[in-house]
Parts: sequence; C-alpha cells; structure tokens
Amino acid sequence: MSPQSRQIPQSDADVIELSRHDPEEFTELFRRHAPCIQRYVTRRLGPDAADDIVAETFLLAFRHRDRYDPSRADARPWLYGICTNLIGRHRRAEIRQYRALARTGADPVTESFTDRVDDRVSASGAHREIASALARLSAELRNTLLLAAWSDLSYEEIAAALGVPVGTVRSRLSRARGKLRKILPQEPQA
Amino acid sequence: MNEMDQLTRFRGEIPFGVTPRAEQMFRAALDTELSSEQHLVSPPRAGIFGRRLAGLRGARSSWRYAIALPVAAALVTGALVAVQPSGVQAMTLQQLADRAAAAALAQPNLSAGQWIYQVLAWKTPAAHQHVGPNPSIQSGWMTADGTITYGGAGSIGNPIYPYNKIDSLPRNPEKLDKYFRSLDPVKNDNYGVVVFSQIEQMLFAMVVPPWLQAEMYHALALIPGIQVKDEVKDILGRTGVAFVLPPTGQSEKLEIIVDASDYHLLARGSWDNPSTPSPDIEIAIVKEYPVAQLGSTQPSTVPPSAAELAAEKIAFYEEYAYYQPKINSVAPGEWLYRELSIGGKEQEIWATADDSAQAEYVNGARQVCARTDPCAASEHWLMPAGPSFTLIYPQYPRLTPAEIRQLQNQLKQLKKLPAKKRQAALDKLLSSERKLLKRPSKPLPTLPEYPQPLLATLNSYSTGCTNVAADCNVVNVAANVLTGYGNYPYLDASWFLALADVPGAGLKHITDGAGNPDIEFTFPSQDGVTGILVNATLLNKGDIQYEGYVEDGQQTLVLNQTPVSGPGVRP
Repeated sequence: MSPQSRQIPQSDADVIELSRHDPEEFTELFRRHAPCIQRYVTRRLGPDAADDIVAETFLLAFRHRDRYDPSRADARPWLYGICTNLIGRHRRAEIRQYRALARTGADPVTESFTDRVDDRVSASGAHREIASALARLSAELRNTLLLAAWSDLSYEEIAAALGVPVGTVRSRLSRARGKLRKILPQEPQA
Repeated sequence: MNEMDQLTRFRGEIPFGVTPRAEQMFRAALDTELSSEQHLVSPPRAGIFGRRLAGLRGARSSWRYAIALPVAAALVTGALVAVQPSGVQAMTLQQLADRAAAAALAQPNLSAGQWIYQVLAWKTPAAHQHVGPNPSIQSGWMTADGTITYGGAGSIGNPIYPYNKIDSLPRNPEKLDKYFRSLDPVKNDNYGVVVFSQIEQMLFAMVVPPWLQAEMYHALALIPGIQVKDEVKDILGRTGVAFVLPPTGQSEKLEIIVDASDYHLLARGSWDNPSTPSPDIEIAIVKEYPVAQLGSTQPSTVPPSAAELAAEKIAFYEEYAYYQPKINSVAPGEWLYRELSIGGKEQEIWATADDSAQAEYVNGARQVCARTDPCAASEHWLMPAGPSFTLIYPQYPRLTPAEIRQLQNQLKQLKKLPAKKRQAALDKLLSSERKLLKRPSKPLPTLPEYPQPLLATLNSYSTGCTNVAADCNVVNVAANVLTGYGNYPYLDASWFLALADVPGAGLKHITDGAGNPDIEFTFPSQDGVTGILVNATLLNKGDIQYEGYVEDGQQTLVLNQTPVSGPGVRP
C-alpha cells in the first residue's frame, strides 16, 4: 500500500494496527503523544532522565504493540502506564529533588527552562510546600495524584494506566489530596 | 485556589514538546529494533530514522518493565490463546515442584526488619544493549518485609503484591492458583500466563517467605501446558532445571530456573523469539542472603537489634509517610529561636540556620557572637563540632530575588525591541541567565548515605572524647547536629540507621523531663552523650521528632525551635 492510497488513521488503535504490518507507522504514535509524555516525565524527574524514559516508553510500546487491545482507541493510558513503571525506577532521585526544592526553594527540575523567567518568578510560594508533600506520598499515591493533575487522563483512564479499579483511583486521590491540603498554606477564598 | 490547582501550576513552566535527544534516541532504538524484526512487510523508508546514537542509556531499565509486562499484557489483551499441554520430560513436573518446594522450606524464616543483600545479573536483548556490559550487575539492600530498599534491590517501593497481605494468601496451591487467576481483571479463559508471571514477579522482586515459595512452586505445576526442561544454563553458566511456559500467539515464552543440584532459585527468562536457544531477557540471582545491617555484604542471620528496628521504622516513615515538617525551609543566614531544657533548667538560645552565629541574653543583655569573632573561643556553642551546614545541605547555586528582578526587567525591555533585534537580545539574556545559574560539573560533596561510611565520617570530627573506638565522636556529633541544623527541614533517617549500628547501641523506652514518652537510642560510650531521644508517641503515628539527648545523666531537650526575624527576637 503506498502512502498516497492509505487512509488517514483516525485513532491510536488504528495507528497501532497499521504498525503491525508497517512498523514505521509507529512513529505517528510518537509524534502524537511524545510531547505530553515528555512533559509529564520532565515534571517528575527533570530533563535529563526524561529523554531516556520517553524513548524507552515508546520503544517498549513498540515492542509490545501486538498486545494492544484494538478496542481502546486512545493509547495514552497505555503509554502513561509504561512511563509510570519506568519512573518508578527513579523514585529516590525524584524524592531527592522534591526535598532539594523544599529545602532551598530552587528547583533542580525546572532550572534549565530558562526562557520562562516570568513563570519562575510567578511560581507561588507554595511550591516548597508542594514539593515537601510530594516527597512524603507513597509511590502509589504520588503516581495517581500526578496523573490526575498533570495528564489529561480521566479517572477511568488513570485506572487503566495503573492497572487498578477506578474506585481505587478515587480513594487514592482523596487520600493524596487530603495530605496535600494539610501541608499547603490556607489561602483566602476568592 | 485549591490544592489541585496549586499542584497543576507546580512546575507548570515545563513546556509540551519532545527534545531532539529523546526523539533521536527513540528513532535510533526503533531502527535497531526494525533491523532485527523478521516479519517486516516493508523496510523502513530511507532517511526517516535519525543518525544512530550511542543508544539508550540505562538499557537495563527495560527489565523493570519486562518483569511487569505479562500481567500488563493480560490487562490490555482481551483473550489469550490456549497453551497446548505437552509431553513430560526426564524429571516430572511434580518432582521438580516438590524438590524446589523442599529447598524453599529449608531456608530460614526471616524477621520482618532483616536486611537482605541482593545482587542480580541482567541480560537485556542485544538490540537494547548499546552501552556497558551485558549482563549488567545491580546490587542493593532491602528489608525482608519490603519496607525499605536501598540501591538496586527490591521492587522499588511498589511491591507487586502488598507485603502485609502475604500472610493471608492461601496455603494451598489450588487455592493460590485460583487466587492469582482472580487478580486478572479481564478474566481470560486462559490464565496460565497470568499465574506464571504473578509468581515470577513476586519471586524475583520481593522477599517471599519460604512457605509461600513452596506453595508457588506447586502452583506453577498446576498451570496447563507448563513443561520441565532439564540441563538448562542460566546467564552465569549455572546448570539448572526450568519450569517453562511455552509461547502462545499473545504471550512470550517464559521460564523460571532452579539449581539442578539443590533446587534453589537461579533465574528467570523470557523470549521475544521463542526459536532462539537462550532467552532475550534474563535475570539471574547472583547473591541474595540476609546480612546483619544495611550496607553490609557479609552473610549473617543475626536478627536486627531493637535499635536497628526503631531506625528502620524512622527510615520507612521518612521515605513513605507524610509528616509535617516543623520548619519548612530556612536560608543559611536566617535566625532560629530555640528553647532548650538542660537538666530541667530552661534556656533560650538564638542561632543562624547554618550556625555561623549565636546569640543569648546574659544578665538581661543580648550577646551576639559570630564564629569568626574573637568571642567565639569563649562562647559555649550549641553545636561545638560536626559536619558543616553545606555538607548536610549542599548549596547549589540559585538566582537571588534581585537577579530574577533584573532578568525580568531585561525581558520587559526586550519586548520593546524591533522583532529583528529581539532574537539576538533574547539569546544574550538566556546565556547570561545560564551563566548565573551555572551548576557545578559534579555533585557537591555531601555526607555518605550508608551507615558504615557515615559512621566513619562522623567519627572523624573530634569532640574531645577519648573512646573513639566506641564511636564516641559519632554520638556526640549526632547529638550536636540533630539539636541544630541537622534537624530541619527534614530529619534524615540516615542519622538513625547509622546510630543504630554503633557497636552496642540499644533502645530504651523512657518518659523525658518534659513528660513525653520517648525512645532512647543508648550507647556504650560514657564519654559525652549516652542517649538520643525521639518522640515515641509521634513515631507511632508516622511522625519523626527528635527530642534531645542525654549527657552525664542529664537531658538536653529541644522544647521549641522557630525561625525568627533576628537574634534576641522571641517568636
């Protein structure tokens, strides 16, 4: 099939299906989702580790594309699940960076994003407290909370990404938010 | 703004987008992958893949995922094709299961807090192996109940199965098999791969008690289609016998190898291509045995002491639990007010966060003394000796508020420039910011993390005591530092893991002079500090609070510790 005669794939599942016959199609999945995956991983671990994890997430996805359930149109939960597993390997580094931020106010993770001076300055004073709270969450609460806050996944999709029931996602989120609320300075209601 | 809004903004400046490096790494790896795929319909278009790079760093990381993969695969695929039962080999499945189970049961039962030293060898597929030796070696420590892991051991804080539920798993292979099947949320009619991979993940990423290992080997034998293979070699060349789960259309070929002579667990492997003789991915246990303490590589079944268990509890809460920091963060020069009780007598003392200056009231007059002042020699310092503030909290460079303001102004000016000149000006601004932010090329020095090297370092600070062999300097320095800047914003568990490993360290439960129930880490040296106090009530709730120390039978308690605006100012 020549590229000209090929229909434009509508869903990720279509892309993955096509990639079973023409592996090169898989780069389309990378093009679609690597930007958000990279941002997510960078927010958790910083730019250096993120490059490795993004590349490896898609490589693992590629190697196991035959197992993808074609009834799931959107591949993001699958990809976030893989990258969450890979992030787990860096747990101590992640926690250390939160602690460094909480201690010093300087965030090793965002330091190199130098073209956003405005953002850095406008970052609220609460970022130390947030870092301090994130450092204290268990891995499963942190995974759930950060997927909820930083990916656009629904609760159902987070459940699929983490391989747990949706009720577990809800209860983990409420526990994690409660812990976060305790540590954050109370702001007056607008 | 609620906590989710604040969290959404946290690190929000990180942009969407893929870095060229990540993209190149993916494309290079994909390129390699494609060249090894045999069922290619069309070869990759020329020029679509980037230049081949050195490859994926940390290729062994694919391991972590590979271990979890069969279950993940079962989650996303609706159906698995049935595995065909096969003929029986030289050793029967039942014999293998029985012998492996007997070997497992011959192992000692370990108490929950026992440290385990683990060395694993990882073989990754050649296509992933661009850097470093293959197999690569990973080593580390974990406790037998999985509460703490150091280095590369254990399942990295996310056990495949919760340790606290292990005791309630069925003690019967049929029921265990049925239970593991029930963990498969899509309820495949073929569950072999689900049960097999659940068992192999638990065996290789957790410390499984002997009784459960034995049940697991029997449960493996119940999986339809499972085979025995004699005379297999693992990546380390050891001869073993394997439980083999043949591949199906949707699952890889998997194996678990036990030693051919004594049937202890050796390795696990998985195949991407079942026709190759050796697995594409293999993990072999080089060493796994109990040791007396964190950081030790000498086999020992000496159970952890009461002091070590208490320190492990502190380490667990430090790592996983939430506790409210008493002081969120302080700048090195910021003043702190401390209210102490020394032998029941209250005393107020002010000190900068990095202990570079100290102040107190003497006969109603405020006296401030900096370390560099002549008065320093006669000053009674709260922290007379120990590692510097910057050694405990390495101070990486950061922008000062004035520098940030300056950059902001420059940015404003820049927006007024004509578009043509803007880019050059922006580049210049960015480079000046980068220069301001320049990070050191290697990490700044800090204290060692593991107990033995930390003890050696702390013992090198002279506190004037004589019984150095009994780690008297360690105990005195730890008391100094914990009473001062070692105590905020976080209380690092490394202090206690090291203190618990001071020879002869013990644990007592006491009520301190302020009426708080404490645990007291006790030390044999009578040369200075003999006890370190941690609040027991709070520790039981997952909170860690250092209370003070005991010296010459007299308690020094920290009653209050608060940042204030200057020396002599009360909160």
